[in-house]
Amino acid sequence: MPVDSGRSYIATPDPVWLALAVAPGLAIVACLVLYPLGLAISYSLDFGAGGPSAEHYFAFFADGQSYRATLRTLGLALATTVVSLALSIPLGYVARLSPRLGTIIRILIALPLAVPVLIAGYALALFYSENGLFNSLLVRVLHIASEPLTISYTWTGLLVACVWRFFPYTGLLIVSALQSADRAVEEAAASAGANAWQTFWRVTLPMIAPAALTGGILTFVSTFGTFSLPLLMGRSAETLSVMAYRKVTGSFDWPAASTIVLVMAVIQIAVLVGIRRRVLRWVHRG
Amino acid sequence: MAAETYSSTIGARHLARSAANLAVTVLFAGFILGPLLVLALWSVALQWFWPSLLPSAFTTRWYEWAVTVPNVFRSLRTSLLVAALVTISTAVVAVPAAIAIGRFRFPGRDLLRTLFSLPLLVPYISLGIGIASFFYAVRLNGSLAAVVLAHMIATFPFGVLIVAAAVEELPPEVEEAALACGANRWTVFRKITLPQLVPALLAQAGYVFMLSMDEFTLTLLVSNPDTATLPVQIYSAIGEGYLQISSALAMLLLIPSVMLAYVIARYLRADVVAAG
Repeated sequence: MPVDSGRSYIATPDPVWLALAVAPGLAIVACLVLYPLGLAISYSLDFGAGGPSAEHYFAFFADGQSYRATLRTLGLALATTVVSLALSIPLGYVARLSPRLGTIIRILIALPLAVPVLIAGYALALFYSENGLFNSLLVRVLHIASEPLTISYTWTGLLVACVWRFFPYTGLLIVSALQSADRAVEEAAASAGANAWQTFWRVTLPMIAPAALTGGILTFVSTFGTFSLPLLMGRSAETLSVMAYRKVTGSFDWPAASTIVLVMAVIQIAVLVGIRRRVLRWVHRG
Repeated sequence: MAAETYSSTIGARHLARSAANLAVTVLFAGFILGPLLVLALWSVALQWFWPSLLPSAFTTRWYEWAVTVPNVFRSLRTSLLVAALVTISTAVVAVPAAIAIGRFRFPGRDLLRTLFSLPLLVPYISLGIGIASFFYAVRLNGSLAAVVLAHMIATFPFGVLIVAAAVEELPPEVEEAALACGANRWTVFRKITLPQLVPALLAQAGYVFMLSMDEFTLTLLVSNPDTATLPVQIYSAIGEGYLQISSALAMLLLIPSVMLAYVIARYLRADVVAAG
C-alpha cells in the first residue's frame, strides 16, 4: 500500500523549506491585513489621542444617520439575497428542460461576473434612469405605468444593481444543484401521490439546500461589503461603506471611518461564522 | 370523449407551462442584457430622445472622442504596469505558500489557510480604510508601490487558494516514486511537482491580472492622480464627462474584460473562484 509512504512524504516536510515557503505570505498578511486592521482598531479607540475610549462607538450608535445606514445596508444585503434565491428556482427549472437551454441560462447568469463593477453600475444607472430604456418599455410599450418610475440612484435602484451583480453566486450554485439533482427521487415522490408543490417543498428543496446556503451567504456578504455600486447607484441611499469613504475624503476623520468599517467587519464575520453554523444545523435536522 | 377532454387539458397545461418557461427566460435575458444593450446604444447614438426605444441617429464619433479623453492612455499604462507587477509579486509570494499548505500536512496548517484567506472574510472597504490610514501615516499614499501592495490584498488569497487546490489534486504517489528511486526533494519539486502545476499557475496568473485590472475600491483609497488606474480614471470621467463619450469608453473596456473572463472561465475551476 502506498498509503504509508504517502503519509510519510506528505507528513514530513523539511521544516526549513516550509518556513521559507510560508514566510513571505505571512509577512504580506501581517503588513497588509493584520497591521492595518490593528491600526483601524487603535484609531477607533483613540489609542493615539489619550485613549482608550469607546467614544467613537457611542457616537456611531447614538447617531441616527449611521443607525439608518446600518439598517439600510443590512436590508439591502438581505433583500438582494432573498430576491436572488427566489430568482434561482424558476431559472433552475427552465435550465433542466434541455441541455441547450441550460447552457444559455448559465451563460446569462455568469455574464455579470465578467463585467467590471464600475461599468456595470454605469450601465445600470443608464438603463433604469427616468428617461431610460426600462421606463420607455414600461410606459410606451407595455403600458404598465403611466409615469416613468424613479429607480436609478434610489435604494430600489441599488437593490436592482446588487441583484444584477451578485446574483451569479447564488444562481450558478442553485441552477447546477437543480440540474444534477436526482430526478428519480422526485418522480418517486410524484408517483407516491405527492403533488408538484409537496414534491418541491419536501424533496427538491432539501436536495438543493446546501447550494442555496453557500450561494446565499456569498451573495449576502458581497452585497453587504460592496462599495463601487452604492458609490455610483446609491446617491440617495448611502450605505456604510460609502459613509466611511465620505468620512475620510470629506474631513479626514480616520477614527470615525475606522469605527464604521470595523462595525462592518464584525457584522460580516458574525454572518460568516454564526449564521452559517446555525443554518447548517437547521438543514441537517430538517 | 372523456379521453379527448383529458388530453386537451394536458395540452393546455403543457402550453401554459411552455409559455411560463419562455417568459422566465426572456425576462431574465432582458434583465441581464438590457443595461449592456443601453450602454452599447448610447455609445453610437447621435440623438436619443425620450421616450423612443432606439436612438434616432447613429454615429461612431464618440469612439474617436473617447480615446482622446485626457489621461485615459496614461491610466491604461498605469493599470497594465500595476497589473504586471501585481501578477509577478503575487506569484512569488503566494505560490510557495500554496504548495506548502496544499502538499504537506503539518501542525498549524489550518491556521495558515485561515490567515491566508483572511482578506476574503472582511469587507474590502474595511481593509481599504485600514491600509489607506497606514500608507498615509508612513507617507506611502499615492505611490505606485502603495497601489501594487493594496492590490495584493485582493489578489493574494486567490493566488494561494487556486494553486493550493491544484496541488491537492495531484496524486502524491508520483512524487513518492521519484523519491524512492533516489531523487532528492528539490529535483522532485522541479521535475515532478512544478511541471504538473503549469496550467494552474497560468490560470492563477490570468485571474490575478484580471482582478488587478478591475480593482477599484482599494485603488481609489490609496492612489493619487499620478497613479490613478483605469477604473479610477473612468470613475472621474463618468462624473464629469458626456454620456455618449463615457459610454463609448465603457464599451472599449468591456470588450477585453469579457474576452479575458471567457478565457479564464474555460481554464479555471468555478468552485475555487466562487470561494471569494
